[in-house]
Amino acid sequence: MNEFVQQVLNGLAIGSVYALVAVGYTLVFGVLRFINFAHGSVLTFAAYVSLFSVLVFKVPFPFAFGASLVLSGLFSIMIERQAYRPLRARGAPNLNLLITSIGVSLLVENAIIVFYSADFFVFPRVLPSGTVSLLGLATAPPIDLLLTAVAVFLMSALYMFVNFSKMGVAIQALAHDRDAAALMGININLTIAYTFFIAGVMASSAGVLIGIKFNVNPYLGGLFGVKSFAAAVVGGIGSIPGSYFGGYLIGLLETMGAGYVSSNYKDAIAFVLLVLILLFKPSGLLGRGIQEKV
Amino acid sequence: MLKVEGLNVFYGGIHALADVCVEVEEGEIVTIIGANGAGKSTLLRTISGLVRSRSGSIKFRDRDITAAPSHEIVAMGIAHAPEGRRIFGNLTVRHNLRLGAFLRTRASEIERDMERVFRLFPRLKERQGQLAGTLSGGEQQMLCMGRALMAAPKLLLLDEPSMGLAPVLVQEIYREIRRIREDVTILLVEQNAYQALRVADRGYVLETGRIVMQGPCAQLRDDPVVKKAYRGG
Ligand SMILES: Nc1ncnc2c1ncn2[C@@H]1O[C@H](COP(=O)(O)OP(=O)(O)OP(=O)(O)O)[C@@H](O)[C@H]1O
Ligand SMILES: [Mg+2]
Repeated sequence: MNEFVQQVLNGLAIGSVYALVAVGYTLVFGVLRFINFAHGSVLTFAAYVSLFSVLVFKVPFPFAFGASLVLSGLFSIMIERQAYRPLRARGAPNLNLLITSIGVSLLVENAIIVFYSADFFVFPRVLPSGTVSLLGLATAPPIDLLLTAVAVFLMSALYMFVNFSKMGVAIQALAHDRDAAALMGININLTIAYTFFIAGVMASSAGVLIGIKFNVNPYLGGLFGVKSFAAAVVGGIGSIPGSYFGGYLIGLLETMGAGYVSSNYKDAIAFVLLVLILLFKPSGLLGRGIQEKV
Repeated sequence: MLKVEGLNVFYGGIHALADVCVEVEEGEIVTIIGANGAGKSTLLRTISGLVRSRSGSIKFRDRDITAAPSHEIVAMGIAHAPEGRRIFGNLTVRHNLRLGAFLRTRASEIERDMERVFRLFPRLKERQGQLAGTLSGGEQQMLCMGRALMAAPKLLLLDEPSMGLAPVLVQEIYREIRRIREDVTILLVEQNAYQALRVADRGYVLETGRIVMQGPCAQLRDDPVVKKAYRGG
């Protein structure tokens, strides 16, 4: 029993990562109808920003964390401004955006390798070492608890923002019908920029924390990004609750699979699930399918 | 109030609007009639900034809005009830109306205009908590017009408000258009020339992207060509 509780706990921590990143794919897909494969780069960027802040500039971790969220959100906006908006302005098909986003992610990954280093960096100790015991049922390293707490906090904040702020309503309207939203007086480009900022902040919180949990390297966003993309599709792309559901489902299946079957297949689980969903329920577990305009 | 001059719009190789000139004076209802694919919606979408023109100019109250983004055009006082209604089906009737007032900030004024829309369309009031996607076609048209009015516009662009509606509902919609005109200038696009020419003051006939005829509606109503082509004889 305790063994099971322990696995669930591990699964929730890693599932939090996938959920935080997956929601960004879904948000951007909602407003621009393409999969932003550069989303993982924002995560990598955040991990390096916080690493530098702590290591080089000796910034206390909480401030470094906050700064990387904001800077990564701005980095996400910058990718949209520089890479996607010019294409959008010319009315390029969404496929061009998708291909460009793959290019951006390769660019970021390789820029880090060329201008800095391909090395893997261990994050300086910023959290207490050891493990925390939870009611004697299970133990967890502090980073896992922080991950889950940050995820729950940001997911709640996003819920409030989307449903109760003016910009949140604008994002929903834009996701439903861009032209109709524009006719309501909604500033489309500004709303898209906000969406990229939020997607960037959610992903970068995960980026910083997995940098601490594992290490910081140029490929961080690649692996976690693509697994989170699988989570977003499994949950139903375009659905915010779906992306959380997909994230935690993959997180839990991965740890269960590693714990009870074999850890060799851990990284394959997300993709097997992705293929199964695409075969049997392409709209995702909680998705309603993409509404095509008449 | 609105002055469209020499407007040319292309979709790839398709010349959708060719040297179109249209004027609307304050307080008028002006109608644009024309068959399927004549370019009527394209004209309204270009005025609203959803489609860009290749040449020509659009002026609204002496300001050039040809290159302005849609949200600024709304802010200047042009609301657009688009073809196909384009309501937010996943939101309630009330939320749709509130989105119509997106750029406005005074809660009391928004509430007052909401009541005004409900007086105009009492059926919307009964259904204010209902998801807009579950409304009937006629109710969706009312919501579409009500939502545009929530912007408190000076000029209202109406794109085929009678499309797909039963004759009784068409009559009802046109009755409301007559009431709306008391406060708002209207540019009305229709295939249903019979109704449009009865409600409007002046009209333009659009044919494959060109204005081929214009004049007071009383005159257009009696024109044999218009009668034959657009009113089914
Ligand atoms: N997005 C688009 N891309 C390419 N061609 C378009 C597009 N929108 C409209 N067209 C073409 O432009 C022409 C004018 O279309 P428009 O929708 O303005 O006509 P309309 O007068 O509103 O017709 P209807 O009465 O059927 O609504 C048509 O030939 C149409 O096929
Ligand atoms: Mg039309």
